[in-house]
Amino acid sequence: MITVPQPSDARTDPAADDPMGWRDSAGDEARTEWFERALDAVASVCLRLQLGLGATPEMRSVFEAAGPVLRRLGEFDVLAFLETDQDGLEFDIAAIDDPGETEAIRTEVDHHIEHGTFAWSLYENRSIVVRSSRRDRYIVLHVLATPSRVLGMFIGRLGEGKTFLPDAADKALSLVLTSCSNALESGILQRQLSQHNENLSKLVAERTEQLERSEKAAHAASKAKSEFLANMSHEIRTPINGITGMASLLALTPLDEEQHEQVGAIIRSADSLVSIIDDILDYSKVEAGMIELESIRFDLADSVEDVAELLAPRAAEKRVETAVLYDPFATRNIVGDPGRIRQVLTNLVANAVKFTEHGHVLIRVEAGRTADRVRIGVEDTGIGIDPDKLEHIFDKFAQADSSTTRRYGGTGLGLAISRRLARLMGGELWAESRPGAGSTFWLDLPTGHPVGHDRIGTRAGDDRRGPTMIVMSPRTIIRTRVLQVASLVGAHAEAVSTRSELLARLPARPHLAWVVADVGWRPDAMLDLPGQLEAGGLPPECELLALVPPGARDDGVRLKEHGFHHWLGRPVRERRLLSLIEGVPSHPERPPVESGTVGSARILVAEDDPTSRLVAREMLQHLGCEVETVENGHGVLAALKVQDFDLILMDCQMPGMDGYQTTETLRSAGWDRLPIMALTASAMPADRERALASGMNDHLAKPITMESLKAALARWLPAAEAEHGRRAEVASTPSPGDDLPTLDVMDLMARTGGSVEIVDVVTGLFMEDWPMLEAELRRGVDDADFQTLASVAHRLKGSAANIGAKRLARAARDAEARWVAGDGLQANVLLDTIVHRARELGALLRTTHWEDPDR
Amino acid sequence: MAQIAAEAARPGMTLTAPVLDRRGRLLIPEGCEISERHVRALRTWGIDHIEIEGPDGQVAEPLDLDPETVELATAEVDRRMGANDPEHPLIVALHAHAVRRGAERLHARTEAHR
Amino acid sequence: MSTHVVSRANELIEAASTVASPPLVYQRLMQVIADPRAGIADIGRVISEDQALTARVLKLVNSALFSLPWKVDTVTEAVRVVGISQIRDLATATSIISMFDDVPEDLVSPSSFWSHSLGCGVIARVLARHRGEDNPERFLVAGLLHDIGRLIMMMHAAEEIREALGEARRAGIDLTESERTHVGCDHALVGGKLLSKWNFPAALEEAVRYHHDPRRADRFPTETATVHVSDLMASALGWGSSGRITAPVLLPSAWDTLGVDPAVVPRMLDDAEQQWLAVVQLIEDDPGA
Repeated sequence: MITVPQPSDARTDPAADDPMGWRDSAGDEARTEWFERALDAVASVCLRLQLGLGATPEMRSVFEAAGPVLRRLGEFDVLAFLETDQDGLEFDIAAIDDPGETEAIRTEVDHHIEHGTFAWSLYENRSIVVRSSRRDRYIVLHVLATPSRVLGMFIGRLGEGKTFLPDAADKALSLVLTSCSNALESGILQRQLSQHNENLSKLVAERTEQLERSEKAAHAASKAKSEFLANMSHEIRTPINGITGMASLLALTPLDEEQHEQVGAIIRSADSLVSIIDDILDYSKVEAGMIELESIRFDLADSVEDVAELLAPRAAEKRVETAVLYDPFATRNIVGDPGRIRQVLTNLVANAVKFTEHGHVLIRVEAGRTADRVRIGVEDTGIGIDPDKLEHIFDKFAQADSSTTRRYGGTGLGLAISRRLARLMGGELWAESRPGAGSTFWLDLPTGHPVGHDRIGTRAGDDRRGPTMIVMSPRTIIRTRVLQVASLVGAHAEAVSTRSELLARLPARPHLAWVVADVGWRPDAMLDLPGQLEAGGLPPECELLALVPPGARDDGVRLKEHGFHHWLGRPVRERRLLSLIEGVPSHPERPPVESGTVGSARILVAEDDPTSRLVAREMLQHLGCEVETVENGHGVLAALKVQDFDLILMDCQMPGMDGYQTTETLRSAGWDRLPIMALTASAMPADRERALASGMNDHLAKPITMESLKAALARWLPAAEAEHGRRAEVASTPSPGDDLPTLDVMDLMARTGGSVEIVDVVTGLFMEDWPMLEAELRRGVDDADFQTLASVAHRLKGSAANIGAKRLARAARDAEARWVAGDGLQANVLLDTIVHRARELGALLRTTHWEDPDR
Repeated sequence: MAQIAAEAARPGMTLTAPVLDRRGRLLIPEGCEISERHVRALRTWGIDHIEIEGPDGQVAEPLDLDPETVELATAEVDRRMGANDPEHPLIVALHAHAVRRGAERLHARTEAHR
Repeated sequence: MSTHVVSRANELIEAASTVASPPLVYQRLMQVIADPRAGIADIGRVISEDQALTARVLKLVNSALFSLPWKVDTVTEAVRVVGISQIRDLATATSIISMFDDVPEDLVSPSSFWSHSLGCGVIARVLARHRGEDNPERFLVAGLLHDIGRLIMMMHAAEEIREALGEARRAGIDLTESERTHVGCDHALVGGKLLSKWNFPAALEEAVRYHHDPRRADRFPTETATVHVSDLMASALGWGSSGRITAPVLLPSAWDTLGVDPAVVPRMLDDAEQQWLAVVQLIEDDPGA
């Protein structure tokens, strides 16, 4: 603390004009000391004012810092700082060291303002000593000012008997007060600066808020658009439902061929309308950022082959070959959203098929530019696209030109959606083309994981000597594909283009194990090949495999009758070819099928649209159900009072009492076991969720078809299952999953839409795949390779569940759980259980007779 | 316009010229109606005179100087300015002021002679 | 600067016996102020010893120079209100004026000379106040004394200065130039030498010595520039004359040093004019003080 000592004789000398007793010669030493201390104190307080008051000193803090020193310097008995007000017109006390004297000081200020001394001192940069209002004391006024502004006024009342400020004290006082003024001004400038900054940040905040508001508004608009589209889709789907429903009912009546053709056209047109609506809905979801991507590990080769297989029949109608070439160095297992990738690929391949009249559609999967990417090219030999239109085709509602729309149809949204999806997934979609020569659409994707550990090429390094094989096809893409797959098992494979070339090589290939023959589009022309080869010296143990056009099952059967040992549909699926080559038995025997109906269930239909109501009633009656119809929820409640039902088909949006409300009412009224199935026209997932949340059991999207209706009923009518008695046989030894059906027929029917054809195909495919899976599992157990085991078990679980093989799926799930964790205990037991369940299933499938209810 | 002593300022009067303090800082802007607070501020800041709207609200003419007088004054100031740069801002201001004051003094002297 | 010129200046000052020593009151006041033991009454007492000085100081304090809102009756109160240093400077200024009572009137009218000097001082003071200087009276004194060297010349080199004045008027040569030709040195140098001899503050000496060439003022450029500009202003307004017939030429950098907005110049000069008229009146009313 700074103290300014007073000269020792200050109080004893009565001389009014010598308050400090400086004329007393005995005070010399004390006076020197006073100067030194005063100087110290002033210097120290000035320093403090400059440095020590923080960023924005104010009157009060400055006063607190300087007050004690000022008081001692001038021997004041009270002192105060006055501050100018907002507009700088008036002064008021901002700080005073003796609050009890506030009124007295205020009186002095008023007096000196009135007297003019205050104004006088405002313009003098020094102390002004004047008599107090009562003329008994002396007042010191000193302006607080910097060259740029007046900040306030210092006022001090000299102690009793003091009449003036000694020159030294006066100067020191000025020095301190000037420092005070500078500190105050810096505070003002700082505050102005921070005020400025504050205004600036306020402005920024306001602008940000405006932006957010407009963004919110935009978001709301986009949401409104989505809702609008959803409603539109409802409005459109309802009449389409009527069209397709009535048309399919019409198709059930006796019609001549031309009429049948016309009904088919009606249904196809309606279907394409629905797919257009789906496109628009999907696009609006992408636009609105409502797409949520999955991130799961899956086999890209499977997905690509699925898409190729799905669309190959359509291409085959134009004799356009669909093929897949999978670069052995490209990653197979990728982490991403298989559904969305499949959607993009389906769109690309479907486009390629649509615009290609001759030649092929080739899906090639290649390693990406960097190790963590993969790219898929969809190459066609179609009409191609002008270079200047290449980018344009990714715009929404755009096609290469408007005539394209007329000729090929479509919304023009597919590519826009695809590109957006690709980008959402961290990828890119672009096109290369030469008009007249074809186009290639490239989808570049991240693999979603570090690479290098999952290439399938590893098996080629096995010590096992692969079989010797020859592939015969005039088409490079098929020869290449077969050679590629063959190389995976270390086969000694060679390719020839023609039958004569093949025959020419036979003598030199005594150990030939396989001949793979592409039968092209005319399988009949190959019926004589087995005989010709036999005559040409084909080793007796050599297997003959025919590659038949997509979906040409009949051709396959006929070729087999003519000496081929095996047949596979094109495009060649890697796994199927491998399982054949690796010595696994091929096609299981297909039992003949018969048909059936759902049964005589009592169904209540609640639907406000009369056409939809009629369609539902007719379809259900056709399926053998008893049907009651009502128009809304109130009707449902009324109907339930007089009669019991096995199931309710309930439209969600009905006037009066809608489906959600009705279901909630029913559930809370005790009908908690009655299956209620929502009929929704909107394809928005939210509706399905809302339906389930309100207590409905399932959901059926309009337009309903006979198949979808049948499958849905099968899922929820216990009577149907009991009546048809297709419960699987019970396994002999009790083990986990014994309570489950070996094959859940209803589930399988539901999944396949009740189509016997599809049931046939999917179960067939599964059984084709199984031997390879089993081999992989055994290898995995032998090598204790849990990564492989877990992945195979996962795949098995999925494909078993897909065909309703509940027990097998359960066994696979249990095993997967252990193997994922690297748990090697009882690996053999788990494997045995899986094999047991699979054999159970195989036995059941072989003995099951499928019936087609439509025939 | 009328110039009045600051002591005569009353609430309700309207300023026809801004009130500046003795250092030239703006205290009360032109056109402002004088309030009680302003009256007190005039005393606080030691303002001598203010300019307010006359009773008729008219603005008084500035002192009417005849061109001859101004010309005389200008010639005299030009002579006094000697070799100073007539373009320099200070010289411009000083010249104008000197001419005005000189003309006013001449005018006053002529008036006195009449 | 040649030794000849300097010695000529010293010669003139030596010859001026009446100004060989500074005003007594200045010395006394300096003594009192320098003594930290001195009280306000001591200063009052020094001035009060000279009745004429007392009257003049009180007149000055109560003049338009200060526009005090009340009347100050005693020197003690004047000191209290105006300040110790300020009173010292006022007293000194008025004493100096009275030291030059016997200037030959035929060369330059003493009243015109003091008129100009007071004008220059008042303007310097107004400029200083405008710029917020803490002791504007110092500037008043500097302005007042800026041409004091010419008074010395008129008293002790009357013929030479007469020729210089005549040549400057006839040939339009700058008076300072003519002084060097005819007297051997210019008035600024003589004035600076005098103040130096009197032990006046260095700021005063430099301001007077370089008021025609402010670039050379390296210690007190502000004081010097203020006097330089004030001299020009007083001359341009025709406030008396110390012998020149035209205003000295402005050194733009000196104006820049002051940092004053030319727009406020008319207002400042109006203020200064009131004060100037008041003090000139005061001096003329009381020539023998």
